[in-house]
Amino acid sequence: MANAPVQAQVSTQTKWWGDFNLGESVTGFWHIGPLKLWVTNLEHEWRIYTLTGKDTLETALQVEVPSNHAPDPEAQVSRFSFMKMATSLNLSPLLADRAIVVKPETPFYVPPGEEATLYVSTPLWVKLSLKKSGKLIELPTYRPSDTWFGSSTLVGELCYASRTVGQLDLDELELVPHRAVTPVRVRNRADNPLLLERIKLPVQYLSVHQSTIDRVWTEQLTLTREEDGDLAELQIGRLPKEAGPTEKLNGPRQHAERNLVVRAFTKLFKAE
Amino acid sequence: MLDRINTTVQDWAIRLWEAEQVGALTQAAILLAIGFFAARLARLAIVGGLAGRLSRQQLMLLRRGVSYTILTLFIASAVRELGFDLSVLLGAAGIVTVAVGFASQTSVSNLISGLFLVLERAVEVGDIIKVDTTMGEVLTVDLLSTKLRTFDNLLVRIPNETLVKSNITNYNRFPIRRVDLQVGVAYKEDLKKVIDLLNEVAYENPICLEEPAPLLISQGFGESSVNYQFSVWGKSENFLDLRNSMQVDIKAAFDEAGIEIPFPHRSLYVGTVSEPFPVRMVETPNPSKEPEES
Repeated sequence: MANAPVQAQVSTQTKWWGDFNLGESVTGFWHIGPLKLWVTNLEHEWRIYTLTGKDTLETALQVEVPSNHAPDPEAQVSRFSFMKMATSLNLSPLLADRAIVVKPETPFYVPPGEEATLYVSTPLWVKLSLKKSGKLIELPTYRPSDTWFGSSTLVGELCYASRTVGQLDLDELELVPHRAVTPVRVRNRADNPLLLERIKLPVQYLSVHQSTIDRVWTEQLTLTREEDGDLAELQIGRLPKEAGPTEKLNGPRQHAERNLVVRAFTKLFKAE
Repeated sequence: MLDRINTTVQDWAIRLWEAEQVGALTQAAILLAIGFFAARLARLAIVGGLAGRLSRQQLMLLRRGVSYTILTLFIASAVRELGFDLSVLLGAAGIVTVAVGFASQTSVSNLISGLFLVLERAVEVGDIIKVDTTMGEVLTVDLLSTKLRTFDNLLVRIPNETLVKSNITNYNRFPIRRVDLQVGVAYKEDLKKVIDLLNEVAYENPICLEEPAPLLISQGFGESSVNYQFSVWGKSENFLDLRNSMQVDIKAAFDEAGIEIPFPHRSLYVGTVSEPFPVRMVETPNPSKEPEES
């Protein structure tokens, strides 16, 4: 049975995650950066419509529950059938399911014994779940491009490429609702200078936190290079001071082992 | 030797009927049953314990090797329990092996080739390979032959000897692959603009790898077009999706930018000496003007 038409309530809040109550035949609408998302609660099913725009740095944020916006005809639909329907829908942010490769604005050297902190923003995934039934679906706010991180086409790892650059100054990092900020501390303890052309961030080991200053943060990553080469010891630290008071939204996808050594830096190569 | 075997078998047959042999028979049966049970248990333990650590090919070989060894040991014990002299049996087996070996050279050749294939690890179960003109997924690498499933779902059995002698192309040994696209553009087009557009199409396609960067190779001036090879990289599993999506994206981007992808052009020239071609002008009625006249 359809509910009476409801007045759309456009939320001016700066967060798109949390619990939302969607009664029968009610649609919720979320516009999170490039992602437009409609969720409809029907008699025995949940329908999720998604449409991703081309502008990966779009800053739009709109939450309408309930919404009078009909789903875009071009949106992709996923259907989930249930015998007993719940009304409580939860949206939460997750980090990418693969490592992300980030380049600094321009390559720079970290001399022996020195260190540098880069602020990097990486795209978030939206996890939709129901209170009783658990996870429905995970959606990227936009699908990052694939990239290869390795010294040759034979040895390496498939990662996502970040469309934004790492910044040495936090204020230069764009404020967008669909990205999380990770401070990356690079320490060079080897005898020779380290040229930072691109860094692989294993974001699957990090958790997501919200701060009161409109940003989503992760813990600080420390990459320590002990010897000449691409390998670095990975340490997952605490949340940075710049984040202020925070609240944890989601844990990591994978738990990192202690003293994890990862291939974190490689030079650009040309495959022919 | 044969006389000796005959005598042994006859002696054994006589003694089988004697009362003390009944106990030996029961013991042999129990040994065989334990052997089958132990082999089965070992197979299950290998699958359960090492499933994640070994490849499917290694797992299959280990499972078979351990299972057959256990069975052979228990069968040998059972036969010994029955009173057989194993050294005589082994001697007879040696003669039989030589005779059978001469008669089945092809099988032996395949068998040895199979061992080399396994040791060399040239192909493994699950690989996509091409042998001569046959392409498909490797289902099993047995001792005599390798079985492929082609993409139109046919089973192809290739003798291991053929496989050892042939060139094998393995399509998914490495995690990433290059897709080579042939692109021709009209002579009138701005080639710098075309190159920028191709790179932009690759950048926008999420399954096209950013690194290794796309490669553009000039193939020279063709009959009707300037030809390029545009090579992009993608995950091996995404090969077909990448090739198809890139073709669609390039065509759409060229159409939007008004870049012509030419088909073969033919210009007829009869020379300055020859007479010009006669051209007849034909007036066609303009349908949009007809209503005004009425």
